[in-house]
Amino acid sequence: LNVAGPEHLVVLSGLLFAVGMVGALARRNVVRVLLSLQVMLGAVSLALVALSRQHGDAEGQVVALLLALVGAAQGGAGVSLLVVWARGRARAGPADGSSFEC
Amino acid sequence: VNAVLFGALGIVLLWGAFGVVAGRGPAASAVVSWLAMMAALAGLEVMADAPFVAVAQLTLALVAGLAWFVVAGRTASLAPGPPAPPRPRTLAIVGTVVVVFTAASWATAPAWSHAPPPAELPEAFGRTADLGARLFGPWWLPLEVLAWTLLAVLVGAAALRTGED
Repeated sequence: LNVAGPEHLVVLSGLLFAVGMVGALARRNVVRVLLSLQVMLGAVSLALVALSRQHGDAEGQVVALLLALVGAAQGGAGVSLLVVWARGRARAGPADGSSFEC
Repeated sequence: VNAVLFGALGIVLLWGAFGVVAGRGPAASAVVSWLAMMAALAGLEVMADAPFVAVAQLTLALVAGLAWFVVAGRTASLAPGPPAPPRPRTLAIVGTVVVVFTAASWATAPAWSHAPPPAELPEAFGRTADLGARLFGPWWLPLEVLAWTLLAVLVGAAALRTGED
């Protein structure tokens, strides 16, 4: 039995995706919600790499690379919007009706 | 050695993910947990013969981590919002997702859990030259679209900052 085979990586990625989804759905802290989305992206990336290894085809690794770029774009947009939002919230005061915590 | 390494990296991976999701410290601690998770993820990808993907992801994660630290520091000085009321609907959604995921894993396990890995991988599998040839060959258009999207995000972020200042 190959203990670190691709199938184990797929199971691990499934667990990671579930944990990230719980965070994205259940947390109110907006930084943690965005990082949970990154956790989900990482899980998908791990599954792609594992299945690429399983099938001996590097196409999965190419998609994982593109997915890393998507994650970077999401992170960049999230960071800039959060900074602007945090400034606006600081001006408006803490009780501006926002549904997320910082 | 493979088994021990897989176990150690898997534990760090899940510990980091739980730190992001369930941590109660400031947002900066979530960033640290996420970076630890990404490091473990890179290690697992190296074990799966994907060193280039691992290095690229880790580099992007380190750069993004710096930005997240800035955001965590800026938002930490703000007063917290009102206490969160209990959200039974969210809990129901999360429970349903976990149950569906577990059921799907069990139902499809026979299909993928016993599939043997390929006996012999191609010589160039996972190498930079092979991935580069694929990226700038059949995957050229998605790569271009993503590159322009990333550029638009960067320009948008700069425009937002300029507008604020």
